Amino acid sequence: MLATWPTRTHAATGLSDAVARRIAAGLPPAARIHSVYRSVVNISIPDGLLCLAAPRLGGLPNGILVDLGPDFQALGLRRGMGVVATDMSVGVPAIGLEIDLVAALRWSARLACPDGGPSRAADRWRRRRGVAWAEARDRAVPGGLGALLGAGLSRGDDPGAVRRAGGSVDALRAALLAGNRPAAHRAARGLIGLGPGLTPSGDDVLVGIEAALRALDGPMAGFLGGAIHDVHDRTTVIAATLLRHAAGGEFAERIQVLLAALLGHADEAVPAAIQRAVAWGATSGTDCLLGVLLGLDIASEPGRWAG
Amino acid sequence: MTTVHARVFRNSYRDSVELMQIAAELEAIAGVDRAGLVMATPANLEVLAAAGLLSEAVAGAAPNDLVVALSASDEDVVAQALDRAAMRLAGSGSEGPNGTAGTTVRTIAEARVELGAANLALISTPGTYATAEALKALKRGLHVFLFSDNVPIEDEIELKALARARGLLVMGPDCGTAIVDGVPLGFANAVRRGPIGLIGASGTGLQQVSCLIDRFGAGVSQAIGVGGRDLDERVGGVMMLAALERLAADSATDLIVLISKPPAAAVAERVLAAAGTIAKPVIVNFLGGDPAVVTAAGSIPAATFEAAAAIASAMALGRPVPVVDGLGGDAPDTPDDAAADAAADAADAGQHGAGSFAVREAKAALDPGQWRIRGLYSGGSLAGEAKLVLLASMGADAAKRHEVIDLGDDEYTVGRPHPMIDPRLRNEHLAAAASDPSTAVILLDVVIGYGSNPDPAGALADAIDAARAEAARQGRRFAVVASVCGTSGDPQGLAAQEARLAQAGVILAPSNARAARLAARIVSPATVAAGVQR
Repeated sequence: MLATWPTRTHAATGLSDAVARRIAAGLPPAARIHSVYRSVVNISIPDGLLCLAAPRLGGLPNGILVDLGPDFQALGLRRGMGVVATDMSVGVPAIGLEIDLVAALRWSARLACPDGGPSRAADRWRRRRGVAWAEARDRAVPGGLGALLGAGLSRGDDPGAVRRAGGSVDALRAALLAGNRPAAHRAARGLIGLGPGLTPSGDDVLVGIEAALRALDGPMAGFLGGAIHDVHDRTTVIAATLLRHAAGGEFAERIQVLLAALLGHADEAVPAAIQRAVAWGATSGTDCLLGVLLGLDIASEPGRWAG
Repeated sequence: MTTVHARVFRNSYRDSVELMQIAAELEAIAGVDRAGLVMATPANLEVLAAAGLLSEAVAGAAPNDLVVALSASDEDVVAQALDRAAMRLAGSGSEGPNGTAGTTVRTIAEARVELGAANLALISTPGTYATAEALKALKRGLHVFLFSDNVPIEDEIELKALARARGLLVMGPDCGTAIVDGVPLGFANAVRRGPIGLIGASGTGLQQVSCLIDRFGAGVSQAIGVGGRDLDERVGGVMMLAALERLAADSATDLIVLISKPPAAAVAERVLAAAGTIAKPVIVNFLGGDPAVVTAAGSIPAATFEAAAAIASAMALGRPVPVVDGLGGDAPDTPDDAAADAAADAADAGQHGAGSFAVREAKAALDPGQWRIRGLYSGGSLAGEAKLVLLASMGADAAKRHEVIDLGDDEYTVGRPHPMIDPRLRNEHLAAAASDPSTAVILLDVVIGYGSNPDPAGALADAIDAARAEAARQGRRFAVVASVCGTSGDPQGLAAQEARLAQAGVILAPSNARAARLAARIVSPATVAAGVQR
């Protein structure tokens, strides 16, 4: 098999800094195909998942962007197949597949500092927050935690999950505003793994909050790190991976684009950005948006930038 | 005696929209009280426990496992529901024609092997995957019915160019409706077969015309949807032209009806030029188009879907072609409302009996502050037609103060089923419209047929009852005007659906255009002006 490998090579178009570092450090021998979807192949490594994703999904903190055709499931990849890597390629010898990383654009999953600095961005957010929340309320899709945007329960929402999440969100907001890290960790743990979906809604909310706190350089940025020590026992492996990246300050491109619009100079960019945000996944977009709005409100509380 | 059961599906990932749909399906099984489908994270298991849905079967489930939890009346119901869930999660939710599980094929290539004589692929994947599947189908020589929406226009252009080069049709994207050789595809109705060929760049427009043809006693040879953007300048009407050629050569088609939302002028010109070269009569219903242009090109103009159906049916049945009114109908423009009502009733009420009494009663029930028409539509083309009718009936100044929204538009359907399938979105809007003190008339379309909700009138009637009760509590009444787009052969039954709406006090019209005219008559321009000033 190895004598003929690779039989097909695809050029990756992008990869995050985090993935580049991970691969440069060498993949462990235990790297295996975890799951295969039409546009995504997940590779399990000891501390989470690496992801081969179609370029249209945009940058993912754990992702390599590569066009493997319209249906990745048609490649013949199967759960459990071994994955090998060098600093120039990732491959699945069993099917002769090689992903060439040489020409891939390196992309930073870390948030850029908003224009004019966090203080001015917070001013802009305070001015437009009403519009953003109203737009988000109107656009929220049912099924996740969109009810917490203020629109109330929709059919399709799970009242039990929403109620439970509402309590945790309130407690988390209070703890973050008070600067009480132990309380914030307790409240955050109430959200981990809560709700429907591949990435449960509560996890998406937490990623959004952490991203917003970091974007405005809020004093409680990084709180998530203290809440996720046992995350692999508490949520799906896909969500756990993204929570770990978020705790390390790494976020998907779509979240970066959303924050850039919410904190940028153009008021008119806000509605379109929110519309795009809720279109992500089934409920993940709405849930993450909820977290981002909550986080921006918390980090821009009056007085936080005094002096 | 309620019993609670659960089944764990190891390492099973489904998105939440699919899980919600499966849960709703399970809850619709008689005897099932509640159903929940979630990943087995500790937090979700606690929520299930709090809801009384946790059973021993879940012990040992891990966060990457999917749990289906049910409470139901007895063991048999539980077994049936869990089997149903397992089947849906395995991707084989549909049954074969004999009630046995149908053959599952995963690719177009496999389907082609399974059905050697197939010549059409129906594609209904999320838009991002649809182009690739459509390309595969076209390259295998199959016509494509592309139900998927959110397909980029560049892809549509590419697909249609390939289809044109290979002598194939691409019906879509975002094509809701077709009837091919008598087989309904997508949202379509059980329409009598006959000599009228339909081509539509408008899903519910095609449904309305085909249903009215059936109602008028004529029939349809083929109904070919080409997608709402086909007559966009960039696409160039390429599939409407291809379909026109096919129907021109089809021996079972004696006359042709073209239906579209307002097309690009250059494209309209091209299509009309092509229609002018065909030996068969062509009736053209381009909403908002200039009838003189159509006449000059040698075709027959029709201002509304009903007019198109009426002219085509009369010609097909060998009856005198009716002199069909314009968009505004032939209601005389007179300040004497009573005389106008009496004159217009005869034209608008038709066999439905929604006569002057209903209109006068609706008018009399309104307070001076109630002046607004709120159209809550599930069909985009029907909404477009209603707007044009209101404009023509009451003039631009009055018409712009009313609101007609298409709840099937992408703006409203992100992450939600289309309102023709799931009535909840419209019911929410209905409740909101009813609670607005300025609302005088709620104008609705009810689209039945294959693919639609099994009982849209029932769902709507319950919501109307609730909305009326709430308005009554606030001391107000409002009118509800609707038309049902469907036929007696549809699974829901036209008569049964109309009866259910009538029972809820809905003023019914036999077509959407007539419903819009009735609404305009309940709210006269004078009422609007007075209401706005308040």
